[in-house]
Amino acid sequence: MKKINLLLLPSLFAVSLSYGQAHINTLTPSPIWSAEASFLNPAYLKNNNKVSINIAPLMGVNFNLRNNFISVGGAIRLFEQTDNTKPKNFAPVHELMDNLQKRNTVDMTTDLTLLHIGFKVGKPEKALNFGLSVRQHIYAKFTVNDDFYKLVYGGNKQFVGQKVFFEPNLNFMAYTDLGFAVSKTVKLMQFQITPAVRLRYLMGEASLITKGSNLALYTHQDGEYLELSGQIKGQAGGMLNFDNLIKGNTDSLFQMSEMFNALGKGVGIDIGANISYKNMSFSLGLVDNGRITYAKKNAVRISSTNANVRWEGYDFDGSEEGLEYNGNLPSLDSLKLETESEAFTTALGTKLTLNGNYGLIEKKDKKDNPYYNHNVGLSYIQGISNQYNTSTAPYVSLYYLYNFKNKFTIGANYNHYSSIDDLGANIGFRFAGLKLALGTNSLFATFNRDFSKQADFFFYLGLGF
Amino acid sequence: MKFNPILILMLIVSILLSQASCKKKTYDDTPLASQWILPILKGNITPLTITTLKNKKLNLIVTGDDLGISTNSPTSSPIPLSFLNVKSDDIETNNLIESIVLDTCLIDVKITNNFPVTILAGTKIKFKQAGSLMEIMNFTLDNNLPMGQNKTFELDLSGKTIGYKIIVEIEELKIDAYSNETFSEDLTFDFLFKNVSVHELNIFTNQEYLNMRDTAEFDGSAIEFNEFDNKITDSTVNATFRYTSSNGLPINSYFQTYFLDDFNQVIDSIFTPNADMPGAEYDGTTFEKITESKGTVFVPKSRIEKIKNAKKIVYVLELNSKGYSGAFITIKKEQKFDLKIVGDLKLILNSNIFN
Repeated sequence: MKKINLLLLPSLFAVSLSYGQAHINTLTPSPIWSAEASFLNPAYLKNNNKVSINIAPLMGVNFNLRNNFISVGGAIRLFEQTDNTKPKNFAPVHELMDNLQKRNTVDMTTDLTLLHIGFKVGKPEKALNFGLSVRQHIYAKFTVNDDFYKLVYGGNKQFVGQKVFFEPNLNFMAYTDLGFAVSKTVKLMQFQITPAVRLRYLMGEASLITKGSNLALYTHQDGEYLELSGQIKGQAGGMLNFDNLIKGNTDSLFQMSEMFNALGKGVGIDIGANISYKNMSFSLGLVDNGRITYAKKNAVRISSTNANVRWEGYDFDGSEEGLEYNGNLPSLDSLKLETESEAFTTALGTKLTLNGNYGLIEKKDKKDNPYYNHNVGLSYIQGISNQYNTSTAPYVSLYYLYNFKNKFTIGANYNHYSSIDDLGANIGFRFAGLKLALGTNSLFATFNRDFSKQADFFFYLGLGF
Repeated sequence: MKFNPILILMLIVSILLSQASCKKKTYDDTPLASQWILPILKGNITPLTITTLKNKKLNLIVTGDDLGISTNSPTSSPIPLSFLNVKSDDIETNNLIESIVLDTCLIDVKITNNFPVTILAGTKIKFKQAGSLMEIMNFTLDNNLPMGQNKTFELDLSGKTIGYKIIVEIEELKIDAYSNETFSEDLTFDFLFKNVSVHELNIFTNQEYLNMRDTAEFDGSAIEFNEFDNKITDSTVNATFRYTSSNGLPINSYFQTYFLDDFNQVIDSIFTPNADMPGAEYDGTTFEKITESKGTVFVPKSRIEKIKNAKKIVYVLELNSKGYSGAFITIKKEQKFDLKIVGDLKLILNSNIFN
């Protein structure tokens, strides 16, 4: 039973994905974070200063940790139960069980802009906008179905005579990319159209997917035997020695001398466009189109070779010298996980990004750049798969942003993703070339933890001239 | 009225946040019962089990003293020596056994010569029935065994009939001539029964029982539930053990599990009084019908609390043939006794699954 419990750990600590390469709030048109927004749609480069620079620690950070089944407050109360000096309380457990979804997911996204240099070439009206970037991404996602939790907390008696399926899915990806983006705005009648593209060279540090894995536990009607069946299937590659990881040899997980050669390699392309008409703008991006391939010597296929493990109790064997007992409860070890070298190609996970913005009260700043005092709009991100930081569940943000002299912005939004509804807020300012912005989409986690299922923030610090 | 967007924004956010605060659902602290139905024990008693011959071992040691040779001062013999009826020991089964007809039975034999002299070919080992002293089989060493060396071989008792006890005798031991040697170390004969299968078994009726037991460490404190919480009652924490047996042997049996404290005192036992499983029905000495038995034991919270103090657990399985007619009764190799124990456990898991 202990092993089963350990399985829950990643479900709450998994470092997961974000919804794109940057925070959804950055799709809100703002002169402060347009450089960061260009990672969701490279057409946003047009809103950059003539020169904008991020060099760590002057960087962009996007972080989100979320789940779809327990509130932040409930998760905290659940973890507080680890303190054995405090009275035990089952309320957090009831909350967990009451809010279980059919598929319960915990995911984490971290995107770090380590270097980004944006610049314009040509006259302002006809300028080509360029962006050079180095970014780090870490995504993870762990999903398990509701019956798994019901089994762990409620026991197997409720499932006698039937199979209870676990359907575990774990995936993880860490990669660095080198990007080169370009956009140009053209005028067509009263429309301003900005097509853009970013090419990316991808270096995968590690990837793991367990696609198609399924495990089931069958309990005999009268409890005479338990049978663990099914298969764990997956692929992995990168600097981690997954063979050792699976065998539990955690002392030699990294091959330091081979680190660079072990990187997965690939290319990616982000495309986008922005169309502006008077005080309205519409942006559309298709980002994270790309794949990373890990060479055969640095990648493995993982599979369990023992499809059925039956437990009928300890075997006793009697003799004059006593009764001997043999046998072990079925565990994941008994499924005999094996690895086999095999090249591994994995897609980043294409995402569609949309933004529609309506501006009110047009003004111009000191450099004659137009802006709107009041901005309302909708941002939308949706993936084509459920892997890494991609989700087919749409992520929507309905926002308002106030822009003061193109130097100070403050905004709020209502955002929705899967079973998560939350409020967000952001603030940004520009002073003497320094640009700073902070934002979150998980205000409830701050003001009312029981109404939020996520921890989310973005941070931007850069220079713009 | 002047339009102040920041004020409006703050107002909207405040309203939404206050709405969210009102929506919190409260959950009570009722302990969550977890019900597990688990197979705990299974096994069978076969004619082989009753013989207790499986993995039976015998270690027979011959010293210099056994041969009348000093073990602490040098001696010499200019000629080879031969010793008769040097030493013997018994391989015992148990008091239930009248006779065993073996299907297969191999005995691994290892002779280790730590004498300061060569053991000569012609050394003889004999297996005899206890009581009648009738020879079952014998073995003669066909090559010399030099000092410091060992020899391993198999003896085959397949097809033989043996009684409740076998006598193993070193009938003749031959050693080479030696000069000025001290017999400070021993000559050892190790016997191990393997690949034993029984064709037929005769057991005495109304004889003594065969008692098999095992003692293991047991940490009762690992059973976690907050017994001081008055919300946790017998309806939320208890255990039910169900046993089922199918007995095709003319052997009555009972199974019991005792929990012992630090002072080896019995705190509690699972079955009250015992899990009794009567033997098969016989018409005289003729097998008639398998006897099915089953029973259920309910262990309430109060008894689980007692078991939390246990440090050891003792399993006892007792077999006897009381109540059957005749002097002895025959068991065929196909007959057996199956036993299964299933636990139906109602627990309060720790409120934190991450502990």
